[in-house]
Amino acid sequence: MSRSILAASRVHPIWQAGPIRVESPDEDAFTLSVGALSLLAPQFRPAGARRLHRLHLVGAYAAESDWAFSEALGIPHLEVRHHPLTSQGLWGALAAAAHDDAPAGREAVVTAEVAAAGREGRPERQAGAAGFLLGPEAGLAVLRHGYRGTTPGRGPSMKGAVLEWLEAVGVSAPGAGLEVVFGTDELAGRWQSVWEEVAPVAAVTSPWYAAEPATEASMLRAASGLWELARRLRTSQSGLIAEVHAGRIGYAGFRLDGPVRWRGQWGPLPPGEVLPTSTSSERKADLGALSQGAYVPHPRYLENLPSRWRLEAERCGHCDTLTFPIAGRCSVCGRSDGLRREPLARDGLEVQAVTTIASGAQPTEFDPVVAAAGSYDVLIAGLGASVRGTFQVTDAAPGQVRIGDRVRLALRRLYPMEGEWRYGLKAVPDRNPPAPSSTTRRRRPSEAPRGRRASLRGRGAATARRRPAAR
Amino acid sequence: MERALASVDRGLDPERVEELYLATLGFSGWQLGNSSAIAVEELGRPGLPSVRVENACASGGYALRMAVDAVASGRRDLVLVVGVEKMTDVSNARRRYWLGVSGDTEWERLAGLTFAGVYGLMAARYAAEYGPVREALSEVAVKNHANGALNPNAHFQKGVSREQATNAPTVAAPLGLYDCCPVSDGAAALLVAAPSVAHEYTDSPVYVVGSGAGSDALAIQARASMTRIDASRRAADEAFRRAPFDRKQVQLLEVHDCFTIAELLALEDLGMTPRGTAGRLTLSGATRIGGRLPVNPDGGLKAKGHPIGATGVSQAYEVFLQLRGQAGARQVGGAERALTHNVGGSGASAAVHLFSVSAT
Ligand SMILES: [Zn+2]
Repeated sequence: MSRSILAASRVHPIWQAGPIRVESPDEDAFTLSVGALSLLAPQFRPAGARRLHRLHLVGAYAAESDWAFSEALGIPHLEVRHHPLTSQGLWGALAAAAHDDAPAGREAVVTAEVAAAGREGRPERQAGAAGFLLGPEAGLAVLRHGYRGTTPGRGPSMKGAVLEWLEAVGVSAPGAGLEVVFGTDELAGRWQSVWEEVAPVAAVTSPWYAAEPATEASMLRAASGLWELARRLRTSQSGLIAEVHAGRIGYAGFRLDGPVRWRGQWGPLPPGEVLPTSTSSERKADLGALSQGAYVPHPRYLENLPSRWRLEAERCGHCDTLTFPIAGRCSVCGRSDGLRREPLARDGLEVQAVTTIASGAQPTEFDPVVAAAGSYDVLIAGLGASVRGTFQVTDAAPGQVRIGDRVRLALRRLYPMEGEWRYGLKAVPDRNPPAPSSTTRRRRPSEAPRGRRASLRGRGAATARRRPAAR
Repeated sequence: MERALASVDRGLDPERVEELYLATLGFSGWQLGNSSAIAVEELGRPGLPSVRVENACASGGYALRMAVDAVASGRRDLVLVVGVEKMTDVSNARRRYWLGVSGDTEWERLAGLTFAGVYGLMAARYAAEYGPVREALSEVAVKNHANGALNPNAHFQKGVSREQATNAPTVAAPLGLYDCCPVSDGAAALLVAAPSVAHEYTDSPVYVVGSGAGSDALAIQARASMTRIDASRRAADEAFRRAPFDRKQVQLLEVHDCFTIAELLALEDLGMTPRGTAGRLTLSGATRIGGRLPVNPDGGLKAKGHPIGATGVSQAYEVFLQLRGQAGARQVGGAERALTHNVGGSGASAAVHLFSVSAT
């Protein structure tokens, strides 16, 4: 059967504290991907016609991801497939999800990058995730895609390459109605003129897209290119993404047949000063040190995941009491029969008590968190009318949260234990970052680089060295 | 133990001790199991029945309770209760690990909380429900430090000012450095004797006339209220049920002030003052030595120190001195009836004992 992209999402592990942008130190490919998929969650179900039955992972995910995604999304028997972490891996995953022979229902593609810790002269902000939901309804149809390496002085000419791409994606007569998003960091001006010669269409070297630094996660470039193309396709039907990047060229074709919902942050990041932090990319180093603190045996950890990851409680069929976390018996009448699982709301939770743990007062297993981002808040929030939960606050400056504020919960890394990361829900202030919007309209791409350059100007030499928009 | 045995008014042959209860958390993991064997070896009585009692910070109170039960049941005439904790001779990282082991691991600790954090949450909630509490917290620190300065066995021998306490660096907001008990080494020992044999050793015994214990959920998220410690209320209710005096007749309290907010909660949980009024009571000076209701004349956990297993035992030791008029500079004049209150962790367990100079 055939599926189209119905919705897409993107998240960045960055939050804003006043004028300072800080990279969340407790995110990794798994939490970022869960974040991106959670934005799509309103449009799929664990069962029924809208059930999500297959998840395509594009990138380097830990071995436990297969069961972990199933658990985090609350979808039993979710089939997981892996694809390489490149633009082509993303196009391939989208094509597989669009054209495979699986039974009816939804498929999702998610990809995340957690780039190596920032080198000299480059802030650490090359992390993020993008998710795509595909279903049988009309949306953004996935046509064909291709990839080839280039060798200087050999292979097709630039003109030949353009013709090849057009033919490969099934657009043999370039003309009205074709949109092209073209990203390159090599010979941008020459490619631009070749496009204009071969295909007198709205061929565009997206300034915003190409202005992303060359080391920006390639997958996020690809995902951003797709967003840019879809935005342009509102006035025409089919289009093409082409990339020439570090000696590789790739292309993929799409056709807009129906509305697509875009969630999360797709434009460039708001201006601000980046505060470099140690990031999730320190995964191996952190795991090497065996935590002695807060030991929770692995089986016990797994047993608690429904409450710890999905905020599930148990409703007693006899006295209607809600018990959280789930315990296999009612906390009031003690009966273990007639209990029903009930997921609790994860946003709009009221803060009932909050404290700020000063640097040095944290349990030892949270030393990496403090080293990365300083002291942190811990709060108790009401989960519905009768139960409460205790959560570490993340993506916020210490002392920012007050009693009476509203928070939402997000899956994040807690700490390493016996060679693996342990994950759980943390509280994020509702107002930071701003709630994702479901509309496509952001800022025009041509506006974006100006804001970006303006924001770069005020920064230190480290970031100013970044290449300007390729034009 | 040696000093306790040597201090007996008419002397005591160590051979007369019939059983030993050792209160200790086993902080740092040094000899975590079977540690009571070391205590009886040190006593020179390796054959003596002994057991380690562990209920976190309330271990001492519970060890006393078990000793009282052993004597009250008629099974024993003379029992030794020892509380001990050695906390300063371990690495900083190990200490920070062990300081939270008695809290809820699955939710509180995994959220990054230690006990300071848990009590910080309770203090924040208390302020939200009953109004600003900073001045009262500081006054608890000021009072207990002043008392500690009068106690040669106290960890801190120096007073602090209200300003120092209020402006101290934050540990777990709203709690600052002077709101938290220190990390201390310490030991205390008690001889619990049947009334029928007590007069063989002294003319002025102190009688245990009430004993109560109570528990609650380990994590405060699961408790009925975040501004009460119901385990304390339950323990006090049991202790007073058969006691020869009531709450109004208590003249002196040793309460579990591991954090300054805990002293305020204790006064309310024990029924000494209505909900939300402990701060006012404290600021009135009533809880100072010489006040209407002296609290923690030995400096409390705040100034005397909180060597975990020793704390509950040392509270009873202070009461023993006070009721016998032997407390020196910190003596509460005319004290005849006293209460000790020992809390495990953030209130998962509590033990309350009532003492009197007379048996009835
Ligand atoms: Zn029930």
